[in-house]
Amino acid sequence: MKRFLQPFLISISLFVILGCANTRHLTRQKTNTAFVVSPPLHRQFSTALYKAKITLGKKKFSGLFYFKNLPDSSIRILFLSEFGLNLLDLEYKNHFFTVKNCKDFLNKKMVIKTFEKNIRMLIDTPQKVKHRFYNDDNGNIALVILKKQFKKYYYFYPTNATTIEKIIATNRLSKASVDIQQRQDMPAVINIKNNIIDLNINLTLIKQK
Amino acid sequence: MKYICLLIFLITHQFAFSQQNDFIPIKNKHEIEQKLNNHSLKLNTIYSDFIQEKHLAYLNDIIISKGKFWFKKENQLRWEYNTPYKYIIALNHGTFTIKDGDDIKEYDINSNKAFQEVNNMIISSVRGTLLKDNKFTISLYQNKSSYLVKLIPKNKEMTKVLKAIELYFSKSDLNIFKVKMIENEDDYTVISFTNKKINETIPATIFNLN
Repeated sequence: MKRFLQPFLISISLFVILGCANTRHLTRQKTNTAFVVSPPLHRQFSTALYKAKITLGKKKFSGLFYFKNLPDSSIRILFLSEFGLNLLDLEYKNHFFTVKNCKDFLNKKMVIKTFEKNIRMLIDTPQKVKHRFYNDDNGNIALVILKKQFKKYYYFYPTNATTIEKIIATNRLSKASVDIQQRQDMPAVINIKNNIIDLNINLTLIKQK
Repeated sequence: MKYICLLIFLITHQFAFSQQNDFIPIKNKHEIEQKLNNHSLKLNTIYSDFIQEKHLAYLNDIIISKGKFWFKKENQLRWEYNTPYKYIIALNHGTFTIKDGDDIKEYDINSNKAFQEVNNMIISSVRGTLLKDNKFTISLYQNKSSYLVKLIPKNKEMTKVLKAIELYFSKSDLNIFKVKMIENEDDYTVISFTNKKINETIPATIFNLN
C-alpha cells in the first residue's frame, strides 16, 4: 500500500510546490508571440568545453563535456576522461539522440536516457507544446511554462534578462532541474539534478569558440 | 607557376607522408628490448612538461591540455594538468590521490582494479619488464631517430577502451618522448613530453597532495 501511494504523494507534492510557489508573485499573460524560449546552449558557440563532475549513486566521475555545433544543425556531445578517453559520445539531430559510443560502465539504459533527457534540456526546447507566460512586477518575462501531455517544463528568467537561470522538467513521477549561472550570455556553471535516478551533473565552462 | 605549386605540393605531401610511415619493423627485437630495459633501469627520477592532444578527426578538432609530470622510482608519480583545467593524480606508496579543483580524494590502490593496472604498468615500465608483459602483443619499429613500441592489449575488456598504445623512444637518449593512445582510427590521444629532466632530485612533498 505504501509503495502504491508513494508515486501519488510525490506527484501531489510536486504539483503543489511547482504549481503554487513559483508563480505566486507573477502575472500571467494571455499570449506572447514575440518571446521565444531559447535553450541555454543555443548555437551561440561552435564548440564549448566544460569540466564535468558527475555523481551516479555512490560513484563519482570527473572529466570533460564537449559540445560541438555542426554545419548540418546537429550537435555532438562527448564525455571524455581527463586523459582523453571517450566515455560517451552522443549525436543530437532532428530532436533525436544517437549513441555513437559508450563505455560499459555507463552503458545502462536508464543512465543513458537520463543523460539524454538532461542534455536535451540544455540544447533544445520541447516541440508542439502549449505556452504559458508569466511576467514579474516590471512587466518582464519571469517564467515560461511549456506543457506537453503530462510533461511540464518551467523556464525561469532572472530580472531584466532573457537568459534562463533555472529549468525544471516534471512529469507524473520524475523531476529534473537545471540551475545555470551565466557569464557573458554563456552558461558558465550548470548544475543538473534528477530525482528518479540519483544522477547529478555539474559542468563548469572551461572555454568556448 | 602552376608547376612550381605542384612541385611544392608533391614535396610537402611526400614529406608528411614519409614522416608518418617511415617506421619499419625491427628484426633484432631482443637487442632493442635489452637496450630499452637497461636504460629504464638507470632511471631514478623523471620530470617533464607534457602536452596532451585529444584528436577527434571525425569532428575535425583537437582538444589540448598541458601540464607537468614527475616520477620517482619505484612507484611515486604525479600527473598534473594545469591548462585549461586543474587536475592532479598522484601515486604515492600504495595510495592513489586525485585533486580535482579543490576536492581531494584518496584511494587505496588495491581497492580498485583500474588503479592496480595503472600502478602495475608504471612499475613494469620502470623496471623494464613492460616489453615482456604478456598482457600485450608487442611489436617494435624504428626510423632514423626513434624507436616505436606498439602495445596491443590481449584482454578483450581492455580493447574496448584502447585498441593500441604506441610508445615513442628517442634513439639519441632512449627516453620516451611521445605516447599515443588509440581508441580508433579517428579518435586518439597523443601525449608529448618536453623539457625533460632525468635523475634530478625531486622532493617527496611533490607526491603528497594532502
